[in-house]
Amino acid sequence: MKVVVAFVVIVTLVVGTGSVLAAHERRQGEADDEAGSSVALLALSWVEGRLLVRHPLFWVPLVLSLGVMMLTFGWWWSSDVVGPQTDAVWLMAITAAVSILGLLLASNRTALRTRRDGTRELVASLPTAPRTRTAALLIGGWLPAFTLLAVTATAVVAYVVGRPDLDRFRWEPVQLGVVVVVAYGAVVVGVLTARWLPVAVSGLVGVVAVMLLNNTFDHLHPQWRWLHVLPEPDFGGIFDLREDRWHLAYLLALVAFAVGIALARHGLRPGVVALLVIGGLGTVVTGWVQTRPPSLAEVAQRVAMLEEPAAHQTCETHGAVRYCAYRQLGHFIPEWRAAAEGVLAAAPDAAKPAALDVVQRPYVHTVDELLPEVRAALDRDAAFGADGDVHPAMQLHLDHRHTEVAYMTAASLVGLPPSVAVGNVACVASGQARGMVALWLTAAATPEAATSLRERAERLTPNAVVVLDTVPEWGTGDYEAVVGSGAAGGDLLGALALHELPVAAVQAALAAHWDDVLDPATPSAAVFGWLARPVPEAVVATEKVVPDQSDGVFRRTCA
Amino acid sequence: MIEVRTVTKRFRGVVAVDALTLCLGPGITGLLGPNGAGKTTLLRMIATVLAPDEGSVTVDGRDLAVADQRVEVRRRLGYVPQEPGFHLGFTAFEFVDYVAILKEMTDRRARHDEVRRVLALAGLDDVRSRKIRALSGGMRRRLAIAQALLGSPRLLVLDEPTAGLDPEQRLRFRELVTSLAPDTTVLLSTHQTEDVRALCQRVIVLHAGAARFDGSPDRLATTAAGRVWTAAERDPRAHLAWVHADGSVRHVGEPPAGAALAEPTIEDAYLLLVGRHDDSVASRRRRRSRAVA
Repeated sequence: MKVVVAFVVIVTLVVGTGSVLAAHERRQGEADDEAGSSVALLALSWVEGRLLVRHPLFWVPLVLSLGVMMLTFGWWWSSDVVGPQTDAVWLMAITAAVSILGLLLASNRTALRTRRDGTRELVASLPTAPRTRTAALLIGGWLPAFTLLAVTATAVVAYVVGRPDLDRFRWEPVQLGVVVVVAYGAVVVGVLTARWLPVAVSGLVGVVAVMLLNNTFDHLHPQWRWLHVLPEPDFGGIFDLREDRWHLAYLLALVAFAVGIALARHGLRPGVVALLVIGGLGTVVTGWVQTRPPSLAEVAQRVAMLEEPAAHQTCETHGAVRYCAYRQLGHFIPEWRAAAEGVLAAAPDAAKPAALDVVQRPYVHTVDELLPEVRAALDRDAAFGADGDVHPAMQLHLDHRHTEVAYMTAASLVGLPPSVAVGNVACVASGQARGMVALWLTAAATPEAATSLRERAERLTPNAVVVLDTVPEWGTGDYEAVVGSGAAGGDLLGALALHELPVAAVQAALAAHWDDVLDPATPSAAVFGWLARPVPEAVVATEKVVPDQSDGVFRRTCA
Repeated sequence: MIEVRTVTKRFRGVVAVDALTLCLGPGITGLLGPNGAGKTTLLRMIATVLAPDEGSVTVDGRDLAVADQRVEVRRRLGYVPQEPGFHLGFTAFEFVDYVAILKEMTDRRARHDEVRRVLALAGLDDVRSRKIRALSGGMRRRLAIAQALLGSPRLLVLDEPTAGLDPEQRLRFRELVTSLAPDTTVLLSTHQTEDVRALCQRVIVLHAGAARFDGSPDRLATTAAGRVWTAAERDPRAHLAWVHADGSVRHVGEPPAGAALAEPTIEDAYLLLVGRHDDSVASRRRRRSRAVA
């Protein structure tokens, strides 16, 4: 509710201050004549729209953002993670964010143009009414909004065409609509602040107000955050109650209300009152729809999605493995399948399970982001129990796309916990043969997984914990873990040394000693003995060094 | 036809226009007066940007106090404010085009033709694609005049239109104004008495918000007849005296007996009118201000 109160307070402050300033100007003898016609409305709208598109505060940030995006795309894409929110609009929003704020400032400056440039007197002698000039700016504002959509969409298409491997962009018309409405809303806020707060800094006031309203009050609340213009995108994820179209309707109503406030500066004419009423009611109704308490059935449905995920997911069975992903993330399954099948192909026959479930589930900490009603009804042990299954994350790191599931599958084969469970404490199989074997199986799974492990090995310190989570940083510091176990840096180096040997040779040695592999007491160095190979120095060192487990969730040794 | 009836305008209690009554028909009328005389306030009221505190202004029978009629007047009005602002990032063409749209010229092709016409009239067709920030002060002044000519208005209100123009530009301005349709009412304020003499059929001398003279420029000059003389030495009894290029001293005021009278000019008459009223007007204004307060 804080966001509602903040919105009302800010609007009241702007309108109240504007009224005081207007009264002061009238006392100074300034013209305050609302008489005039609207004949020129459309012609003026077109001109104002074109001027906004040409405004440097709009196109310079847009061009710079596009340039930065083009230059850094490879970098940030390669280091980024895809998930349910990874759709085209996300990329467009990043590209457009600065220019949307620039658009707010541009429309504000445009609306203050007569005042700033001293043409008020001339314009006051012309037959077009002040309200028509305001309305023309508000109508013309759609032009830069759609221009922004076209430019950013074209840029995203260009990115995607240039990178054929990026085939996971979703093009949701509703979300594209959000981009347009948010950009248009920026124009409206710029005009609104200019009309009610006709001072040079009013544009900045608008920017600060928007950022304040969008990024502070209740912005992490599972329910109330939907009252923000652009809520945190990956918060609550697929367990939310609301739908994109309701948010679009909410934004449209909010913008209509803001248009009404801007036009109200020229008097409460019937059309303006209608806009205020429709916009206000629309905002309240759509805001309520998005933040309403869930019904019992909705609560039960979301609890079931968490406690029995496979029953609510898209599942495919290939060989002994069943893969299940939430509906929006079915495109992860081919990646998981490549990883799991690679591990199973490298594993000795004795290690291969009769059946294995790879079932997606959210992070343990997602519980804190659920609606309170869902959270209260949820059995956490059922949802996040240590069931021995492989539970991939809700996101996928494209440069490490096979690593997480490959390691989880390998961990399940060697008797290590594949996934983190309730309590969110993972273990470290430091210096244990099974930990190193799990890492070797991971490297052997796919070339991508092997590359990923090599990259991580380059960044290792001797006593580091090897965490093969979706994102390398996860599981350390304040990040949440997905995998249930890790190994020591020396184990990874040992695994990579094994990876240099023929797979069949390693496979045969492991097959001969599989029971030893499963024994937590078997040291990593033993594997090299089975292969009659010298033990790498790093592996020897691992036996003497206890990895630093003080930071993150890897706080115990795997028993 | 402009009718100004007992119009008064005050700013913070100070009377700028004082129960002024005027009637203006087609032709060019010049407003003369010192700074603070109320010229600009009067023009702003006629140009509909300022409402009088008392009295009424009508243009072609339309009462400016009535919103619809005021808008009708704006449709027939061309106005050059004393300090016309410009959107410096616009080109000359864009600026006049923008004003043309605000003047309800919605047909794009016709509007652009009209914009080109007025820019050519103002001698700006060569610089129409140039940003206003790159134009000289004189060019900007002409740009202000150009926008006022859009749509060939029946009423042209020009507040010091020749300020900042060089001699050639002033002559071109005169040519431009005198080429307007004969039924156009032009009201211009200026400090340039040569412009008044060259352009105006009628001149009104405004001082302290009141009209001190209303008639033709020739008749204004004749009001100084017998009160302008030349002498070899400066006469302390003169209201004002200055040395001519030939060394003689021209005096304005009550001449001494036997003085060599000179042909009076508009400037002489203006000086006598304004100077004579200076003291009495100032004291009356102060009294009015106190009364209003």
